[in-house]
Amino acid sequence: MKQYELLAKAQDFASTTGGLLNATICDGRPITAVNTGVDGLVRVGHGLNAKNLIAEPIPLGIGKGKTRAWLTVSYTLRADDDPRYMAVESSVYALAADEASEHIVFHYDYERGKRDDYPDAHLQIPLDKHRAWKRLSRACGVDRDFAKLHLPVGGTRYRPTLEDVIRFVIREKLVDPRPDYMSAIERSETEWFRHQLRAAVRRDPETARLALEEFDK
Amino acid sequence: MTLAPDREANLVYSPTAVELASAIDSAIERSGFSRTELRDQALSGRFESFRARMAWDAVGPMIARDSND
Repeated sequence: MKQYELLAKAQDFASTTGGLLNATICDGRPITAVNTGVDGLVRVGHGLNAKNLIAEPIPLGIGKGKTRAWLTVSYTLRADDDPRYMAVESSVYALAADEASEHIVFHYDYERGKRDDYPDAHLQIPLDKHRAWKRLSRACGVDRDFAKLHLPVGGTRYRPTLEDVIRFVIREKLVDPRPDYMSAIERSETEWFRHQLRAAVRRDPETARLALEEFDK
Repeated sequence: MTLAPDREANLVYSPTAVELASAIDSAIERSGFSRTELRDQALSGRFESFRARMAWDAVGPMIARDSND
């Protein structure tokens, strides 16, 4: 894939992601893309520009109500191994109780081909105290805070989506969404699942053929 | 060339090499750690802070193979 083609796809991705967020849980918060020019990597997130590569937290809420929660949405994109397609190299969805992200509730992380043996897709919860973990880690002789655990979440293909996080903050009443938020989520989710299914078929076409043959019988 | 964002939020920036180097330095500075410290934390999979985690997310792949600190 030529870099200009990747950039066009990244621009679509940024626009779609911003569209989803602004149609559901926030207001007037653009998602931008930065072409780094390094290994074809493109950064995507809120507040990114030529001088800033770190995604800024998005204040959640519609209109002028007081902001109670912030969501950081950050992606690094690149051309897939099959250069006709774009892939997510890494992503972070982080929910915070303050604008400076000093108080993180959780963060879902994804790093393709993570080199440290931890799962590529994982959840981290910065809990200071977790009584059950304290008991278990002591019994196992493991010297590690609960906050440092990488809780596996679905692997590369079936990791939690941005739509999952949006549903969560709405369902748990952490933000008042737009009245018609559900249709935006469902539209986006349908497209994402189709995209993932196509990618899964590309990775394992033989199993896909067998499944279709069974379906056609 | 740096592109200014348009009003429809179709936003792509293409920083110059100088701008990119400055943005990478700025991200590392915001983490509160050096390049080496960030890289070590990334290799161990255990970041000292969320700020460090986000800085690595932003510039890690760009500095991971850089041995000049």
